[in-house]
Amino acid sequence: MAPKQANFSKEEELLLQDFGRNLSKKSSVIFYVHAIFVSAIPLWLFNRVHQMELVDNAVLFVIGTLVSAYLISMAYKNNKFEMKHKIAQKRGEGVAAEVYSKTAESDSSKKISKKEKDERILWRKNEIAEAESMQLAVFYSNSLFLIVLILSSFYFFKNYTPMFNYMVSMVGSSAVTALLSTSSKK
Amino acid sequence: MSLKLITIFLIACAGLVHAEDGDAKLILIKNVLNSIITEGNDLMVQYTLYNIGDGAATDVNLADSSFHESDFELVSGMTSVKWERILAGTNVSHVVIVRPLKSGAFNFTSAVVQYVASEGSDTTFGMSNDLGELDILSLKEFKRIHASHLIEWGLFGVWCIPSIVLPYMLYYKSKSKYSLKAKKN
Repeated sequence: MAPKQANFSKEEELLLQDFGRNLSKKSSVIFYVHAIFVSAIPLWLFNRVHQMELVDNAVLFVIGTLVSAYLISMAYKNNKFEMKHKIAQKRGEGVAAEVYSKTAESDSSKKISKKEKDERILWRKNEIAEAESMQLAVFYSNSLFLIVLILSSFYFFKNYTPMFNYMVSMVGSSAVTALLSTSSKK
Repeated sequence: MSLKLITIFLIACAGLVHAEDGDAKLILIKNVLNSIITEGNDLMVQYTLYNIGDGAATDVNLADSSFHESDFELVSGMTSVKWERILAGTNVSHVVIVRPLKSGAFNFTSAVVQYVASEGSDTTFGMSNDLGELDILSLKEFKRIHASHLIEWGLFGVWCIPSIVLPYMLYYKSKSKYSLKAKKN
């Protein structure tokens, strides 16, 4: 027997999009750009402080940056999902106040029903929570990644060869960041 | 008779000791003044001659063949020096500054001193202490381990601003805005 195909209404699809773990294309692009940027920052340290030549180690650097970027983008995604609902709850009052003041200012305030107002509040709250959770996820993940990377590269593995140091520090730091993002205690 | 022989023997011994008392005795100490030896950076080598004898040493020649032209560039001083006279109980120093051209382990051999211990005697040869194998760090390795990298760390901090400070500022701005609205309400 063939499995039943779930036919969702537009509203249900929007709700799933808002509260599901899947990211929109815009969010994915933002996350990947941030992840590649933050993964490329350590190249400066390894080139200038650890004296690793960019040309000689180009393949290693590209692989390390891409693996790290992927793991960090995973961390962003997990952190964003964990934070979004909590932020939405916290911003409820503020968003409601904003929507009410906006509707009060407009001439058509009489025409707007309570249901529509609530929908506007919900939509705005979701929009704010989306933006804030993204920003906070990027901040948390980047901070954690760079702190772990500096500790591992300049404290734990400082006496190892620069090549080994780079591989272990980069992959290790991004893996730790991705791993810690899976915990739900934020 | 035996007493006479003993007396003659003692006088002879005293004469020998007295003759040796007037001889010079030089001790040569070779010392590297740098704590870290680096390729392309100046290396200071100090030679100190101590005359611990009772007489003056004459025609003193110091030579060091450690620093070959292919391995070191002579910056200051000479690897072969001459002193006319080094008085008893005094010391002289000489510093040579060389620049290592290669990195890796290098064997710093002894320097040689030759001098006349007393008038009319043959030339005496002496050698300095052997420094042995010392590591000459490459410039890259030296920078990696010992340089402060303040500029590099400063610029690293600048690169971190867009990825750490900027997202937090945007979050904080939004948070403050809606927290304030909630309070007003």
